[in-house]
Amino acid sequence: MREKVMEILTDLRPDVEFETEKALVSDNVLESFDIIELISRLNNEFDIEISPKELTAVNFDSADAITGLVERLVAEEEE
Amino acid sequence: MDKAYIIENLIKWWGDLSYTVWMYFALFLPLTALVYHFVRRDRRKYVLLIFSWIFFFSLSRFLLFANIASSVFVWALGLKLEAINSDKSIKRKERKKRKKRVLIAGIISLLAVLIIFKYLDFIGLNIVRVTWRMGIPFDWKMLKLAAPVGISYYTLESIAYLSDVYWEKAEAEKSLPNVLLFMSFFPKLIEGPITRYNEFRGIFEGVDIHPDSLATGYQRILWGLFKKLVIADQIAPAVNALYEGEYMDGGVALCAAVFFTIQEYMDFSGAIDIAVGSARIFNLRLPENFRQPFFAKNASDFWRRWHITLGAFFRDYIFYPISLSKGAARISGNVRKVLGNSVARFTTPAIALFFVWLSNGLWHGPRWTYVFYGMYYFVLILIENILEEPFVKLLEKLHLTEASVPVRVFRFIKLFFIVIIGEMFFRAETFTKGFEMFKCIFTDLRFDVMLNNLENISIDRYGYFAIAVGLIVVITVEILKEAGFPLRERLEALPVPVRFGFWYACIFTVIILGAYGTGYDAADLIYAQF
Repeated sequence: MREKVMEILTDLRPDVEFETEKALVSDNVLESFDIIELISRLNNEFDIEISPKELTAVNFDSADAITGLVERLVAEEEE
Repeated sequence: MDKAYIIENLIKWWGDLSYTVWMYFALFLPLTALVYHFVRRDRRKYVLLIFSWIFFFSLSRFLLFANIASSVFVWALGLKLEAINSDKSIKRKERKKRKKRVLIAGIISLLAVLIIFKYLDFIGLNIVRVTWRMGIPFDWKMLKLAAPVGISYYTLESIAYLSDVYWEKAEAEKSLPNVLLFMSFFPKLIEGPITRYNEFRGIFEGVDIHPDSLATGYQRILWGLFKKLVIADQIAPAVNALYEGEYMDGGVALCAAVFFTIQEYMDFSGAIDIAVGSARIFNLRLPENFRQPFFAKNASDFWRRWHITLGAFFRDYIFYPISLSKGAARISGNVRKVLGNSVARFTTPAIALFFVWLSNGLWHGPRWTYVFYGMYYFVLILIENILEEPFVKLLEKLHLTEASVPVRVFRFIKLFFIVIIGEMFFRAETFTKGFEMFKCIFTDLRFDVMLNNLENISIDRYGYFAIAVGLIVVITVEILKEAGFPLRERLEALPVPVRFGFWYACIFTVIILGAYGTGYDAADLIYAQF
């Protein structure tokens, strides 16, 4: 799942080092337009629904955090 | 002597407690700090609440009760949302439905109060305009209601709080006094910064006032006073003269807009410095509202550095919820089918962005110039986002990078004009006047006339000197901050006599170069009217 997330991220913003960046949202590396695009791709790819509730720095600051969020939501969908 | 007479005179003597009157920082603030210090820790929040109410009362008299009523309402609704959140006997979907009803009712009620106090005359007059054209007899009697101080700010804060409880990002506050203090805390009351409830909770602990926080707080207040009294208030009469003068040509229009931009930035960021400094005394860190905005690379970046807390509010509570809504996804899906992926990509953000900037314009007040100001940034930011990719490709072709000097100069000049033209309309009495000013930049630009005008706009040489010194200091500080130079730490590391000498020099600079006396009224804080 992480590879797929990384693929989406690097396609979205090839200029960002997603392996090392740990403050994607906190430092405004990803702008609001990027976030919307990212969420729409994640929703389509993994068949989940990311709501405004999940929009916190904790969930989006790094590739690992985003993967964690997706895994949690996929699990919730399957419940 | 009559009791009412004494109270009336006491109120007159006390005056309006704006942040830049000496009564505020030399009497009210130290008195609050003193009482706070000598009271038991768990009672300190009540001290802050009582002093906040005195502050509120001095500015808005009995409209204080409107603030209290809103606070009680928000407190009760927060608890209701929490109760639904934690009632696991109801199914998730049903819980969500019920929560949504409560949240929407809350937001509509809070906005209704705001509209009644601030927008009713505007709505009435516009209805008259339309009905008059249609030949329907309808008349509107102006109500001219006075709004409670800070209503635009605390309404947004309470909407953010309720939404956070709804999303379970924040816990509902059980204590009513805590919510009352959140909604009326005097440092952030008049002009923000718009503070989230989670950022505010620290104040309830009643932490001891530390000499360091006292010093840092007062230094920050001094910095704010410097910006406001030395620059903003000195330049204010010139802005009025230029905007209201009979003569207008391109040079005067540009000059008026540049002067107003300086005034507004110094006035607003100065007031925020005073707010942040005042809260710092009580060990509370309010969020920053400005981060060297003129170093921004484009208009979107500018709004991440200018009135940061307002932009963040609109991003979190309008932009994201609309972008992520099912309706937006449906529209974007339909657009994708018809016009393809590249257009669909911008559809959802564009819809959300439209509402963000419409709200931003209207939030500033009931005027069409503000709506235009919002739409102006909506169009610019949308174009910027669409052109960003081609622009980066163009740079690659030209073998340039974002850091290259020509690119940075180009970006700065572009941003400069974007901002001052926005401010030109923002300050104009009517949209027509703003448009006339804009037009004559292209049709009637003569610098000799502009220079002539600068001599006759009620700033004397002394005033120009003060403004120039002030601007040099502020710009130097901004450059250092942008470069990451640890200015505060370096100042703190200086030997004590030098440090004290420096701060005394600052105090005397404000006293000597500040705008007071005949010919100057301490200008009202610009952002207090919004």
